[in-house]
Amino acid sequence: MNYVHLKVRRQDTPEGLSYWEEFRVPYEPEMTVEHLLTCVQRDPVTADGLPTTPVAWECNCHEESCGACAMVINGRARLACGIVVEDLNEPITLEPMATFPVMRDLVVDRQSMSDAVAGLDAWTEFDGFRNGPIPTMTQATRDTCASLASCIMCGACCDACPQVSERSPYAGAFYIAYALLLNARLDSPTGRARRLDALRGPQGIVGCANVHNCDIVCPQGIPLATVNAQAQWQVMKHAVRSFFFG
Amino acid sequence: MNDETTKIVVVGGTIAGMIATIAAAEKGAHVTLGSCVPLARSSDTTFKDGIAAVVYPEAYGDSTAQHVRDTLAAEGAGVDEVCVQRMCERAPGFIRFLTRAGALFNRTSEGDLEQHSAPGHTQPRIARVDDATGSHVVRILEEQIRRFEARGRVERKEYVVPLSLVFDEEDRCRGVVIMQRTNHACMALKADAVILATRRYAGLYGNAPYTPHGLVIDDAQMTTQKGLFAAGSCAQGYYGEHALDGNVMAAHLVGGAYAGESACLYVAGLTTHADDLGSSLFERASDREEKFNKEIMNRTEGENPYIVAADLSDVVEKGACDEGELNALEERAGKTAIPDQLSWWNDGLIVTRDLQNKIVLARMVAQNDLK
Repeated sequence: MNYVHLKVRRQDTPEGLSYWEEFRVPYEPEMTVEHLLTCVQRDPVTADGLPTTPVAWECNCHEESCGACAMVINGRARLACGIVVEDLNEPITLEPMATFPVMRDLVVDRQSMSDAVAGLDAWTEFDGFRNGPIPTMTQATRDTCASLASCIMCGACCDACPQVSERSPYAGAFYIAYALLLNARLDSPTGRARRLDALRGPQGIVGCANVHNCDIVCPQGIPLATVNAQAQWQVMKHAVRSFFFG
Repeated sequence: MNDETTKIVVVGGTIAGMIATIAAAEKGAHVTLGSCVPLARSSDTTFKDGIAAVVYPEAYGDSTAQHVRDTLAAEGAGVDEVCVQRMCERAPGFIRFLTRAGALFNRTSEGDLEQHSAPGHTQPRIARVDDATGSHVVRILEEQIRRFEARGRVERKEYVVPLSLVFDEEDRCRGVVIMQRTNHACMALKADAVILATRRYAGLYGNAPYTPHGLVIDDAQMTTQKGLFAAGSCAQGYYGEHALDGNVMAAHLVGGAYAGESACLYVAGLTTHADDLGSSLFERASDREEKFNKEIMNRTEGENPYIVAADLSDVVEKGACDEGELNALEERAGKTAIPDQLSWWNDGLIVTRDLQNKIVLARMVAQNDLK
């Protein structure tokens, strides 16, 4: 029988130390990394034959649309449900995304992402939620917005970016993409200026050093390098405009 | 009574749960929304087929009545005519709401909503966002939840698992016991009304009759248990086993919001509120769950619950499972031991507790298949 050689960086508690554990998982064609972890749950025994605990990780949708299972697979942030063992070199190493605090094993706390987005006033205001007609929108605008809106908040862009760390307030490429989405989507002029100010602030584009790792790792294929360049241009126009017209 | 005191708890961060929260908050209630995953990571993100709603009746000669006829013709016996009528009438309002809130439905070259065709629908009446309608709707609803959070109208609790419901002496539903996924701490959330919009309803149902297609509901979307409402995949009647494309999401939106509004009306008619009941009822309920958790965690000898859960889903997926198989699984489920003693982010505990719920559901499916 063929086995898949798996190495997992584990950590029991947020305060605990991390350690490596290796597993030999019976191979099945086209099994995903998520599937490997499921096998470890059912048979939590290390490669040395010692009993251990199941590896903790998050997964909800199993089809690359919820972003929960993002983790570092062979050195790169990816979705565990979206990659099969045939596409990976062995041993397959799994680590939690280093940018975020570890909760347990591969589970990380991504609350900082939600907090950053909440700071953008990321919502549309209403007088009453059933009233009002359908506003028209051109296909071109819709397509631009839809690409930005395909972000699943997995955090891969934060993990891959050398600029996102506890030493820097920079939120990450997802934040810039969300701000641009809101400004492209909503026609509220006040909100727009406030969001451009936020993008000019410490969480925003000044933190980006144009390394463009985000662009490479984004599992949704959002062109984040282009997005960041657009944001820089918009913020500059906004800065010049507010300098002259207040 | 003062609207400020209306306390509603919604169980389940699904599309139905989120729209129920928004609808109740719009009516002035204070809503606590509990979800076992972050709202943005709901498995409802996987809905792909769009939302069925007649938004441009003139353009295609379509009508609500035609949508009702198509639905009844295709889904037949499994559905309730009143629910279907409500869904078809109200669905267009939700398309308008979602679009204004920023949902990026596909557009025609003129900038109107593109209406897609699908088998069973005699006219094109489906709004889609490429092949990711679920993800986009989840995002828009989460944004609206955030809007109410900023105003103190909604409190979201993520990474909490619902364990049981709390009933008062008059058998009215008064709350729900939840467990933190991190440290497994249990707490009872007090409520004047509870709305279930979770797939975990089987273990929660109290004495309310339910079927594999959800809880039995009345015209106000209340279950037979007073104060307990159901929406989304918990509510029976909106769609059958072979739902037409777009009808499921339409039903979850319409039914969810209707449950939120109905719950507010129900609370307005109450004379006593959850806050008047004292805390011992709620403490007892959460103590009971803590005790059960400890009992499970203390088991050292037994089968791995993940294996029993996998076998159970195999049996259910295969279909037509017999009584004997289920009895055997139930016996195994009662004798599991988690291969992990740590009371911190231990999903084995949730899997163990879910086993009982899943067996109850599997029995319902089996009995239904026999009929």
